[in-house]
Amino acid sequence: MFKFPCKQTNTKIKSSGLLFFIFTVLVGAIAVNSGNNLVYLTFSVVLSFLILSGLLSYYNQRNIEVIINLPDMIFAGENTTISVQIVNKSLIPKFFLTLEVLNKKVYFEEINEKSSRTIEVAFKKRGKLKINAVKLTSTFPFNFFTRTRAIKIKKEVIVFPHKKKVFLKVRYRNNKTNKELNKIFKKEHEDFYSIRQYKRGDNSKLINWKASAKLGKIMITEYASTESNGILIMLDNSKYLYDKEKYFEDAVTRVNSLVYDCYRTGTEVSLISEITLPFAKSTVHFKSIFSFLSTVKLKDRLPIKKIDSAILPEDIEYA
Amino acid sequence: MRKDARVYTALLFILISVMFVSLTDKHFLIAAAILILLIPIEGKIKSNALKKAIEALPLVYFILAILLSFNLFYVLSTLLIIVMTAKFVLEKKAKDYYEIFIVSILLILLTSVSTISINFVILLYLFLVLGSLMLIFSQFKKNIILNRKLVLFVSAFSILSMLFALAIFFSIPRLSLGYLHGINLRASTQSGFSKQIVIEKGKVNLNNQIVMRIVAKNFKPPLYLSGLHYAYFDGRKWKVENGKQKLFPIFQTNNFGITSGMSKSTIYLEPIGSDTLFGPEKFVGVRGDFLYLKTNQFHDFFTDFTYYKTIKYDAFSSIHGKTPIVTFSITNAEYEQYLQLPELSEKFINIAKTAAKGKTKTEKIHSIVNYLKKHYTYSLNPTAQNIQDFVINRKSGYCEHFATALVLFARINNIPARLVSGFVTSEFNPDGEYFIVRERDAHAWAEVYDPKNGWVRVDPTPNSKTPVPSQLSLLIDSIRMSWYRNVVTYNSAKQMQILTSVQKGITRTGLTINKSLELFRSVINKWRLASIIVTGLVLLFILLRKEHPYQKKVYNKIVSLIGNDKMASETLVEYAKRKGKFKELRPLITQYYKIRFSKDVDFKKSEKQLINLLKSYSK
Repeated sequence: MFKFPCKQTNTKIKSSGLLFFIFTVLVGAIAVNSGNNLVYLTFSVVLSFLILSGLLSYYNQRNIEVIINLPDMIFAGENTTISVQIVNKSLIPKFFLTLEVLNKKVYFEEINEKSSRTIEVAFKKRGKLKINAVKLTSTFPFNFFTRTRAIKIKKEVIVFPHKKKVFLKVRYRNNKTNKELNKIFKKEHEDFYSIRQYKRGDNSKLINWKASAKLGKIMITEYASTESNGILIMLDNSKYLYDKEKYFEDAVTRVNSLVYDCYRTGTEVSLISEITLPFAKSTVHFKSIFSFLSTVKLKDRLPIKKIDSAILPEDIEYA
Repeated sequence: MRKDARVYTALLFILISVMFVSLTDKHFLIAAAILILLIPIEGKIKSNALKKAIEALPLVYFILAILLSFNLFYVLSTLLIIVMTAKFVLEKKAKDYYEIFIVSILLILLTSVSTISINFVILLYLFLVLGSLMLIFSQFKKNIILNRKLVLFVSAFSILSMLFALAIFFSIPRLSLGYLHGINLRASTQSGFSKQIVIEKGKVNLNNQIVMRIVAKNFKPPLYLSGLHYAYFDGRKWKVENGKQKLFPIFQTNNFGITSGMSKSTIYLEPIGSDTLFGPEKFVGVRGDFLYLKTNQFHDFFTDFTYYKTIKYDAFSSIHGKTPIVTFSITNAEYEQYLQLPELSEKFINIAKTAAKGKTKTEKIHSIVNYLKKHYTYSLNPTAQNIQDFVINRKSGYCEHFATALVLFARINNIPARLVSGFVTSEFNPDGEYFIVRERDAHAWAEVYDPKNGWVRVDPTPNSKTPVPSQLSLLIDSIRMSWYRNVVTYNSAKQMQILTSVQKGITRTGLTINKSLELFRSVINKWRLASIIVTGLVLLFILLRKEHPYQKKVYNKIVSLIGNDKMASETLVEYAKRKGKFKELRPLITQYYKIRFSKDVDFKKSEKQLINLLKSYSK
């Protein structure tokens, strides 16, 4: 798990601000030297302008809430669209805010109540990522200062492993030919069984949109063969099986890719590793597998006994 | 292409900046007109050569202006306006708006040393509004849509900024390390007051320009303000005695010739391009921010420089009521000086002798005044070539003719006399309780010497009709006076005065609080038992108020309904589940939780429901 730094408020004076500051001092010096009250008045106005711009800059970043909306599934190495929303809790509009989330910047020109933007982020590695703070930068009101404020947020992102196009190697598993196996996870649903109402946990890929539109409720298609066509995948994380960590990472990617294909096609999957996840095909089940795969690490323990019917990482080939 | 709001804001901002310098010289408004004419070509110049030429324009102008030795104020003001105009005409980036803003401040600085107009503060406020808008707009990347919130926000900011600026202005320490006298741009050329008094033919124009405001509580109208005294007359003009002797403040208190019991009046003198100070008659002392003053043999006061900005000083007069405190006796040599006569014709002398009837000096003077008022008429267009022509032939003139004639008539009759020039006013503004002196109030009168009372004022000029100012003009002028009093002439003394009054206010408040506490203490001591009971009741009320009845009472009741062995770590649900009573008590516990933890609930209604539930369960 790696954390994003949470820096405190930081104000940097810009060249225009520095010039204005020097100018203010100069006007002040002229006022003191001349004793002319109108110069004093000019100096007071310029000084108040400078002080209030600092205060405005401060209040421009107060009463702000940042909401980050992440997609359900984030896979490493893929461009992910993240929605960021700034909610202005005060009556005064906020201006010229640049929000920095996960090293990506997004600009908000004017926020009256709330405003949303999207950013594209590609995560390099699988794992859990904790976002502790986002950076809010603004040059408001007069571009004299750049004020950066860290807004604390608690957001955890689980980045699933990379997924690539894969297929299974030719060999027999549990009296099933490779052709049969590939057919299972490619899910050519030729054996229609029935249409029923959607239940929590059902694979969303099986939603029958036509029937749903007709009946006004979400319906899914059931296939006759779904009970028997499960795939058992085995990922042993014993460190004695891998010479280098990158081989383990590769194994994770292969397994993840196959699981994703199964998810896509609505195939039941069971995963055996340091934990065992039973056969199921619901989205929640797949998310559990992806989450496990995103955090699984090599362990100092003896390898698990191989199950003959299980698909191993080496059985999975990149397309 | 439609112009953006930022372009119009920049235009208005530059126009305001130009208006600043136009406070000094109205000719600068031509620049504003040119700027408006340039709107159609704003941002449309595409040719690089033309762009470069426009950018170089200020520099070319500056070199030419310096070579041709123009007035520095005009050179700098015009240069800054050209810079702003060039920035406006060309395509602008955020940086350019910022530069326009900085240039504008320079222009304001230039104006601040050359004007004292109240309009300055109005323009300064507009500068804040438009400057803020322009700088905010310059940062917008998209087209600006002016919404109500943004306008309200900028308005609030500018008001706050102006108030804050005024707070800074009044609280900032006044060190006055140097002394800038102002730039000679507003020196009036039509001033009614002139050091030179020449009796000659010529029309006099009356000017309503205000030259002085006087807060003089001990004086009643008409208020005579003397400036210069004259003793020698050559037949055509009076000899001016300039200040030669320097007067330094004693112990740096800046007091010149002040003794106790004198009448003080505060004078706000506008720049009239003169170094003469004026004060109500028997003007003998000055107090003000002067490095030094100069004086002459007649005790007239002169500043160390010709002032070009409003100056404020306290003038002290040696008269309280009608009794002079200090009388200046004259020596024999001076006596002779005040009897000096130019070459005069026999006819003139005969008229003077005829006019002075009576035995005593006073009678003679009265007779001369009556004679002049009876036989001579007031005219602003005198045709008399000189004083003899006025007395013998034309018999028509203004104050200078009358006063000169009186002095000469008195001297012919062996009465020492002299001429005084200054102002006389009857215009009093009740709003601000001060006298207003205008250029048209410039006046000359005579003083005759009386060994008992010293110099006595004699005004032989017949009264001329003066227009009565309207109430509105008086009100406007009192605002202006307040501007001069509180801003233009604000100084360390005034600051100390404010600080002292604030300090006094704080002390007074402290004393009041202390007194109230003392009173409270004495009441407590007197009614000790009653106080304890009242305090106890108040505390009880507060405690009861804090505690909601359902929070503890209801909780304990529900717990007792479940059983009597609740563990401290258990919640109501957990406890009820353990005791197997959750199903039975679920509505009650849910209702309790709803009130206890839910935010969006109608408390009164829910509380009623809870109490009813509790009652039903208790049964």
